[in-house]
Formats: sequence, structure tokens, C-alpha cells
Amino acid sequence: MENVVMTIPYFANYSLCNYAYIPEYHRYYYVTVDVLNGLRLRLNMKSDALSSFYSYYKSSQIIAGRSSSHPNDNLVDNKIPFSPQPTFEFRQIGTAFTPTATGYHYILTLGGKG
Amino acid sequence: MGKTVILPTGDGSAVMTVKAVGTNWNGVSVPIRTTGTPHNLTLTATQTRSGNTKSCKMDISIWTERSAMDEYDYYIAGYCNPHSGNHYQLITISYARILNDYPYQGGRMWWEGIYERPIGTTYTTYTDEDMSLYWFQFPYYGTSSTSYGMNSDTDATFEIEADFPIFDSEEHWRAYILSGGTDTTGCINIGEDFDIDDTKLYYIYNKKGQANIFYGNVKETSGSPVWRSMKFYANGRPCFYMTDDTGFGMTLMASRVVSSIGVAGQPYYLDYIDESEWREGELYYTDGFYGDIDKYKTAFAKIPTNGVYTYGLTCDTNIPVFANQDDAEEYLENPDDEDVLEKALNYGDISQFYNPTNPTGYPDTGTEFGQVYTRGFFSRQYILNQTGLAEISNQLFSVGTGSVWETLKKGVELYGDSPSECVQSCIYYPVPLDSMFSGGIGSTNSVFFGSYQMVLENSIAYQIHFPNGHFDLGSFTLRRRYNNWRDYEPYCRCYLYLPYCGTFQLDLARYYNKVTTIRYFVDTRSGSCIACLISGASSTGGHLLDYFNGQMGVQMPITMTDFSRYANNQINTLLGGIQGEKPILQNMTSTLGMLSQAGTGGAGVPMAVGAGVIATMANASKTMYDLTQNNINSYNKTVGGSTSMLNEYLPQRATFLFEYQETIDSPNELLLQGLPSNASGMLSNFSGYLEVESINLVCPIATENEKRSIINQLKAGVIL
Repeated sequence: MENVVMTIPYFANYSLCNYAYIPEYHRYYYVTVDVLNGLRLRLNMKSDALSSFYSYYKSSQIIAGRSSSHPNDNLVDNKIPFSPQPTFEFRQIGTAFTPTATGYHYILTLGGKG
Repeated sequence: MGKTVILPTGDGSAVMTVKAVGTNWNGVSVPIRTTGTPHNLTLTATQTRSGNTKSCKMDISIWTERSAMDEYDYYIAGYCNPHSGNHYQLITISYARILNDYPYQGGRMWWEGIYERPIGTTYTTYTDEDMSLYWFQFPYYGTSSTSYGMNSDTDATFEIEADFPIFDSEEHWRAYILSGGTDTTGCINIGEDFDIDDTKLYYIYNKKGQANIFYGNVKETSGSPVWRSMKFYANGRPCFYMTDDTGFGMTLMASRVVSSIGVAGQPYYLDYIDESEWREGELYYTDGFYGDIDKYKTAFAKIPTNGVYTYGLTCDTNIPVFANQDDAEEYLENPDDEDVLEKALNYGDISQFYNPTNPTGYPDTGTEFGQVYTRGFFSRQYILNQTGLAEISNQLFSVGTGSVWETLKKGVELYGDSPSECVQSCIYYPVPLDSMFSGGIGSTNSVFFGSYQMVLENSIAYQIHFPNGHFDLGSFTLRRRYNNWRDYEPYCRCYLYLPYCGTFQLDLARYYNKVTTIRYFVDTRSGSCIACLISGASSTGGHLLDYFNGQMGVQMPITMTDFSRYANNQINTLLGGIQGEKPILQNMTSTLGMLSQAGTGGAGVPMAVGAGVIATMANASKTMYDLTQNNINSYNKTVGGSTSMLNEYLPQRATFLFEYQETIDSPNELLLQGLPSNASGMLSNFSGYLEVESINLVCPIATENEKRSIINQLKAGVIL
């Protein structure tokens, strides 16, 4: 039931149809349409397993690589492009050395009697 | 005072003046408000036409409404419009967010208040159900018989007072929206004391999957909760304090006026989560009412040992939350006091966000350079040009009778047993040594040269008994900027310049959120120093995180031999530094070194010539040269080609350089491609974008091909 082909009578708005559900098969289908001799339409239907069985497999255990609802800020995101120009921040902190002309700034080391 | 804008009027003849009056917008960009405190707008219009003057005044409150506000950041703002036809559409008030790099207006606005309309009217335009804006249009122009056009016969003045920004053009309004509420260019009613550089981002984000906050009235009227995330820029410091014992009531305070972010004085409504499903029926808010929720399994209930339930408000915020109003007020009075901030109940979290644009918390004061005060008391220095040096060189190499050579030779003989031979070193330090070594020194009025005691009549000296001391240059606490992986290397690098030591790269992971002290120790014999970065530093201990060697003391030349060493230090240190980074110059360096030792040289290296000659005359041996080389090498390890005296020109304070690799973010990234997760669980627990790394697919109804298709699509990425 993954792929279904149906032939139905022609109708004008067939181009608006691209998705279908067949209850008997419990499946949604992507639909492409071929016009046969201008009188009939052939529906080429391919199952959309992802949507059809969500209620069945939604309890499956997974490990998410990327997620909108469960992001982890500590993991490196390699999908984000970096700007070639980094940002720089300069900050001077604390107190300063005070090389001044006054005050006791010299150590004179002399040999001999101490 | 606000600014005045003169706008074009079509024919260019009329005078259209728009000026901001009264209380200016305080610079705090806020998301839209729904109910509670509204936005305020006062418009006063005076129009003179054909000698007749009319005026009107509008004093209204504006509310906005939009569902799912937590998904986007909307900002309310107005802008003046250019003249259109024969009427003047004075101002457009709208609120918008960024959508595909364009300001997208959304939601519904309504207003109430005093409105006189002798010359004006308003229009509300809906282009679709999600788009609206208000036009406040002057003069009145409509379908009635009273129609006033703008022409040379019209003179109109409009005064605006609003607690949200009004821009002089739609272009500037757009830039404001696109910047996320930070670009205030063209704002005519911004306060003069508002400094955009001081603005910081504050926010309250909901955490998905946990107990949360949402705006109550929407809940009450629509029955579906609207989860609030609030973000605003302010150049003041906001904080919360708890208003009751339940832990639910929080009141916003700020060091500057924060008009409102929809929560101040208004109830926070909390919902709770049970088994990953939002459930309704219990509300808790600031009025003190709270229901009995212990009958439910909640994600945020905690049971302390005394059996009393307490509940946490789980949201991401960088706004400190204090236990009581007194602590909050103390914080606002001392916003830079880390000890006060530590009282915040959420300090462990907000310390990482405390100042997202300023990792150290220190203001950007620019680089302060030092000055050299070092003097050499046993020598003299001269500034010469090339002609003067050539003359000295000629005289030095003149060996004839009566030349300088004979005079110098006599001078050398005088050195003999001179007391100056006892001088081992004289070192200058850029710190007050009497304070640094206060615990191990004693004052004295004499010094000994060998056995000779020299009495100091006009000064005193301090004899060092125990050279044990240190100098603290300050402390810092590094904060994370992004609170994610980008805060670490190689996406963020941190370099620390330490005076007299050099610049070093720090391992950021080692320093985040630690109070770290920069402590210097010096060697009184050699002048070398060591800078230690100590976490939890006290007078007796702390944790040594890093240490770096340097050269703080400046060896002052005492004798001719000393000067030889000093001069060679200057030249060869410089050459050594070049040698280290420019291998191509090695041969040149070697050549110059030999010239220096041999006492010969060329005109291109005058210092090398002088140093070499003096070294030869003072009978400086090769050993002395080798010692000098050793010293030079130790300098090069720390400060490259600079000598310690040159370091006095450099900044005298520790200086951080942070290098951030900036990402080019897309506002839709979370929605369209998610973020790295590595979370595990049932597929149904995930929503939005999902990219499955691995799955144990249980789907018995599907065929094998369909199972492969499901797995491939889940791994490629789907939006649930």
C-alpha cells in the first residue's frame, strides 16, 4: 500500500489535488496526476509514512541531534556561520602601579656591614 | 528637553513643527503591553489658517494585544510622516517586530482618553487581521465638508509627549525595530541623560517544559495561556523582590524608571506542568492567593524538611531577585557591589548574565598609560644628534698625547677601593616599597658601605629585615557573555595584560564567576617579579590559578661597570627581542654583538658603539657580557624586547582584551533548524524542529520501506 495508482474520470480542478487520505489503508499519500487522453486522470499516490503513522511511532525513544524544544546551550552549534570580524572588548581593571618621582621606590643593596 | 523637527509640507510654504515636550521617553525599550499599565501619549496641536487659530489636545492611553507574544519581541514606537496630499498624517503609532529583516507590524491596538477633534482625527488601518497601525492625522481631512488642506495659509505646531520613542522618520523607526529596540537614532523625545552605551539587555524568558509565567488576562479571556517572554534594554538596573512568602509574588524595581514591562504591580500567573502536559485550573498570583497544589505532581514543587511546600518560579532571567524589598533597595543603591548582588536568590544564575556586554563589570575608560619617573642618581644622560656622536667618537679614539684617553686612564685608576665598589645594586620599583614591606622593615638614619657608616642627615632609610610583601593590583570576576558554548575557546578568547609581565591568554573556563585577585611579589635582589592570579585570595591563602614572571625593578647604573651592563641590556635586549621574532635578523644581531664586545662599531648603531667602548675601558670582561645576556634572556621570556624602564610607559593597570567570534544569527534559527540538543526521550515530547540522531522506531503497521523513510526524514529534520 505504499504506492497506489488510481484511474478516475477527468475533472477540471484536478491540479489542486496533491494529497489524499485512504482510510482503508490508514495512510496519507502524496499525489501526482497524469491526464489520460483528456478523459481520465491517473493518480500516482506515494504514501507519506511520516504523517500516516505518527500516532503509532510517537512513543518511540529517540536521541535528538537538534531540537527547538529541547536545546542544549552547552553544545557547539556548527550550523551558525561566524562573522570574519571578531568583536573586541578592552577593560582596564583594579588599581595601578604608581611609578612616581617621590616616595620610597628604590632599593639600594650595599655590601659590607648590615 | 526634547527635540524639534521641521517637516516638509508638500508645497514647502507652510511651517510644520513637531516638538517633544514634557517628560521624555526614558530610553527603556519595552515590548508591547497588553493590559495593566498602558502606554501614554499626549498630542497638542495648534493650527492657524487664514488668521483663525484652532487647537486640539489628545491625551490617551494605548493598549496593544497580540497572542503568542513570547515568540517574538514587539516594540511600540511612533514616527512622523511626510506630508501627503493636502493633509498631514502627523504621526504613526505602531508596534512591530523583526520578520525577515523587515519590521513587521502586528496585533491590535486600542486606546481611550480625552480626544478633541476640531482639527484632527485618527485612522486605524487594518491591512489584514495581523496588521494594524494608528494614524494620528492633522489637520482633519475626511469626507465631511470640513476639510483643511496644508498650504501656505497654514501654520501648525504639534507637541508630543509620549513614554515610548517617537522618531523623526519612518526610516529611523524601522532602524529602531530592526535593532531590537537599541538604535535610537532620530528619536525626538529621548531623555538627554540617556546614554545608549550604558544600555544593557534584560530579559525574562520562559522555560519550556517547566513551571512558568504567563499573562493572566489573556488566560482569563481566551482560555489559552499566553506565555510571556519579556526583553528590554535599559541603562538602569532593575531587580525583583519577593512580595509574599509563597514565592510567587515579585515586584519590579529599577534604578531608573522602567515604565512597565507588563508585570510591575500586576499579577504573575503561574501554571504548572504535569507529565509534560500543560494543565489548567489552578492559578497563583501575587495577590497572595494560591491554591492547594500539593495534590498534583508538579515540576517545581520542593518539599523542605519542615514539610512546608515552597515553589519556584522557573524562568531564565538576568534580573536579580531578592527575598525582600530592603535587599532590593540596597542593590539599587550599590549596583556594583558584588557582596550585595550575592544576596539575590538567583545569584548563581544571574551572575552569568550580570553584565552581558561587559565581562569584567568595569567601565570602558580607555587605556591609561604610565609615565617614567625613574632617575639615575649616579649617572647623567645626554641627548645628542649624529654630529655630536661623531665628535665624541672621534675624541674617544684619539690616542695622541693630551688626548681624552690619558685623562680617562687616570680616572680608571681612581676607582681602586672606592666605597662605591660596595654598591651591589640600586633598583627602582614602581610601587611604594615602605608600604609593600611594612611588616619587615625598620627605619634608620645611616647606611653602611662595607664597614663605612654613612650618616643620612636629611633623610631616613628603611632597612629591610624580611623582604616579605606583596602588592595587590585589584580583583575581577569574569562573566559569561552569551551563556552558551560561545563563551569558551576558541569562540571567545581572553588576554590579560599584566604590567611588567606581559600579555597572556587565560583559560576562560578556569576564571568564570570566580573573584580573582591579581597579586604581585617581587625579588628585592634582582628586581624580577611574579604576578599571581588567586581565586578567593586572602592575606594568607587562596587558590593559585595562574602565575606569570616579569621584571618590575629597574637596575640603576651605579658604576661605569654597571652602566656598561645597563647599556648592553638596552641594546642587546632590543636585538634579542628582534632575534626571537625575526630569524632573518639573526646574523645581523650576532655581528652587532661582536662589535659591542670589541669596542668597535659603525655609525648606524651608536648605542652599541658607546656601550662597547665603555665596557672595554672599564675592563668589563666577557663574563659580564654573558651575565648581561642571561638577564636579557629572562626579560625576553616575559616582556619581549622591552626593558623594565620602558614598561613604565605602558599601562600601569591590568588590562583585559576579550575577542569574541561573532555569529551571524538568524532570528528564525530556533524555529527552522533548532539548536543542538542531545536530549533523549519519547518522540512525542519534542515539538517544533527536530533532527533525530538515533531512534528505536516502534511502528508495526508500517512496511520496512516506510520505516526507512520515517527514519530518514526524522534524521534529515522535521517540524512537529
